[in-house]
Amino acid sequence: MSEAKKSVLPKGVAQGEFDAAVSKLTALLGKDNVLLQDEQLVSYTKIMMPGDEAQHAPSAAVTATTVEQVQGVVDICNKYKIPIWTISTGRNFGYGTAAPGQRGQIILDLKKMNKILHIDAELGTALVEPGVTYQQLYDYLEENNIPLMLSFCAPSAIAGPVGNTMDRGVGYTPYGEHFLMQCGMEVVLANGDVYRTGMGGVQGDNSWQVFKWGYGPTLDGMFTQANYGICTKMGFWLMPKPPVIKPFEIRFDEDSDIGEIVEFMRPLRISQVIPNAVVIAGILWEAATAGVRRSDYTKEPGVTSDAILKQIQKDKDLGAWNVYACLYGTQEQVDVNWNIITGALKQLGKGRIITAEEAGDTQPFQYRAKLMSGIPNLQEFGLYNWIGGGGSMWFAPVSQARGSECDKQKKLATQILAKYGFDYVGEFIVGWRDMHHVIDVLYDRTNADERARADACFNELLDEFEKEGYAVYRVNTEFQDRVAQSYGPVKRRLEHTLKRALDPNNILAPGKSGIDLDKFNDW
Amino acid sequence: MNIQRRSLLKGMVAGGVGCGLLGASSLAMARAKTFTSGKQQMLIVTSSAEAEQTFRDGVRAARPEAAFETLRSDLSPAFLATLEKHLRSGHPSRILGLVDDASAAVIVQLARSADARVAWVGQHHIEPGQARHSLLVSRSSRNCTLHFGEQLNRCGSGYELKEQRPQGGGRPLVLASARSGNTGWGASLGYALAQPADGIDGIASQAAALSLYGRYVSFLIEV
Repeated sequence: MSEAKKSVLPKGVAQGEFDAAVSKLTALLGKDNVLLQDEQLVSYTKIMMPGDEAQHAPSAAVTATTVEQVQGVVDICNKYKIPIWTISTGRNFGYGTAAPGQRGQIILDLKKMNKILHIDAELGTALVEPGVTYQQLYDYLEENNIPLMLSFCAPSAIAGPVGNTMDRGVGYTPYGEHFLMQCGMEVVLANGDVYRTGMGGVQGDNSWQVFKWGYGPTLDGMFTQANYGICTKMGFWLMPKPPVIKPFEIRFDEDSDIGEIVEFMRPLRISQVIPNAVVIAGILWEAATAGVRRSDYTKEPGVTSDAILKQIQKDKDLGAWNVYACLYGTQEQVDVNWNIITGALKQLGKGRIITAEEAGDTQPFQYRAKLMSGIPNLQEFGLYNWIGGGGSMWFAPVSQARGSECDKQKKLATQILAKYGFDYVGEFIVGWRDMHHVIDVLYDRTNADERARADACFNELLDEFEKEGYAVYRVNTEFQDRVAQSYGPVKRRLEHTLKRALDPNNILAPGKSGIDLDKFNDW
Repeated sequence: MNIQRRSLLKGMVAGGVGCGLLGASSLAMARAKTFTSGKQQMLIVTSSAEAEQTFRDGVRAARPEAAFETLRSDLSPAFLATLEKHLRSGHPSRILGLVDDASAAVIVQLARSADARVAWVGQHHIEPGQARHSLLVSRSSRNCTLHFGEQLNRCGSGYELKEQRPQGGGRPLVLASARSGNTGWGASLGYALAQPADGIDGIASQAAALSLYGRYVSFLIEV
């Protein structure tokens, strides 16, 4: 039975209809899995974006444990035209947290679908349900002495492979481009059908997790960062744990070094001498994750001065840019690549190498080394103590892995952030040929003016970067429509054409990535 | 009616609280509708010794007979494991805390995963001359806001307090006081979140004397 008179209802759904849907959901899932009371929903509503929590308040949250239950939820929500916002672990923080994209949506929380279905130690594959966390997977591999290693994003321990991969997140190992390593998924469609991508539809097949493409159109990508289906299983590849893992850091003293750093790294990355996704962390990202707080140095509002940045650099023995990379393999392989890297660095004439032995257990080296070695940890949450106040939005444009691009983006970002009184807290993640430039717009949500500035700042970052030909690869739910505009009208029309075909009632996460049949009219 | 209570009640009226809730009986009524009743284990989580001292003093003032454990938050696997153990113990317990933003981000997430009930999440920004409290609360913890506001007034604190109740249930409370002091907010918060037992009518002034500056997050979780 639902709460008497809900003040948060799905858009266009009357109390009576909502109550009827809730009754059916309760019959399907059990009352413990239909959450309606305030104190059951507060934790889903806590956001880091500048808008009001009220705009992201769910009408309910439901948990399912089987594919059949997910099909049942979809069936009920179709009947009552109630939109569902699906989360796996809901830990994408600066990309929106667990809150629904729109007020009144029912959250479908798949945390209880948390079975590790299969790990193949010889082929290096895994098949998991959406509620599985990286920590759970790590513990499983350790307890069963399976010599495979994980790749994950910085929230590691509490985040999960399905959610991160379905949002095309990245990690810091040679398998760091997570969607590239995905192989086969199972999706519940809006009509209740259960679709398996790749080889998954072939009866008796055993190559679902080894061969990505299957036959005909390969559709895995269209379910990522999208609202065309609910992923209930996902396969992906795990790297065999090598005998030697050698993390290291290269510190560069000047902010202006960034261009040269990338030109130095790119050939090493493309040739796979350095096989992992390399991070080039700016001074404030580095300092915050080492436990430094802005209030340790200044109480003055606004942008932290260059003089203070230099002081922090000196006090904490950090670089203006701090490059983290890792070598993997046998001792012979690692030695060969180490010689190539140190030789190239000598030719560059700048940069100071720090090895694991030299770094000891100091932060942030230790947490970076763990991320590159597939060991979960939460040290990067220290970013949230730089300012405090609970505000965080990740602005993440992509670019070519060229020095000139980094320089340009960094200057533009710093200028815009400073205009609104915010620090540049950023890092570059160097993929094979691309870079993700992740900037954490940190601000105090208790300050209404600061929230307004953060909103304006993020809008201006999007606008000005777009003028230069850059767009973000991922964004929080308050800006997903705006970012969709950056990618042009043809893409939007195609996406809405697919949405109309697959989900005519618009019940699966309307608004995700700007795809919403209720709002789109540019046919 | 004393001046401090009048100041609080004026604020409550400004925030849209109906006249029916005013007066000494209002908090008594609120106690009758406490979030939970009966014997519960209590765990206090804080991220620093200073926060623990002042927050714990407030809790003790509200619940002098209650036994509680304390836990220092950080981002270590050991802290996560201990917290998870409490969240998934199956024993009724109340977890209240005053921590830094990094710890809070993790704690609230873990509470959600464990199906725990989160009745309150507060963001607090305290500087000399300025204190802002931004609260995300459930209907059942409305009395905590009232207690918090009342105690802030008693301590002579200057503050802005804004409640958000995304699930509705009346207009959110907005309170403010233009005084200049900042002492005692941590103890006031601990007092409010511990939900004072019958017969308790405020914190002793000594307990409320400590100042705590910086940015913090508070929470009230029921298992």
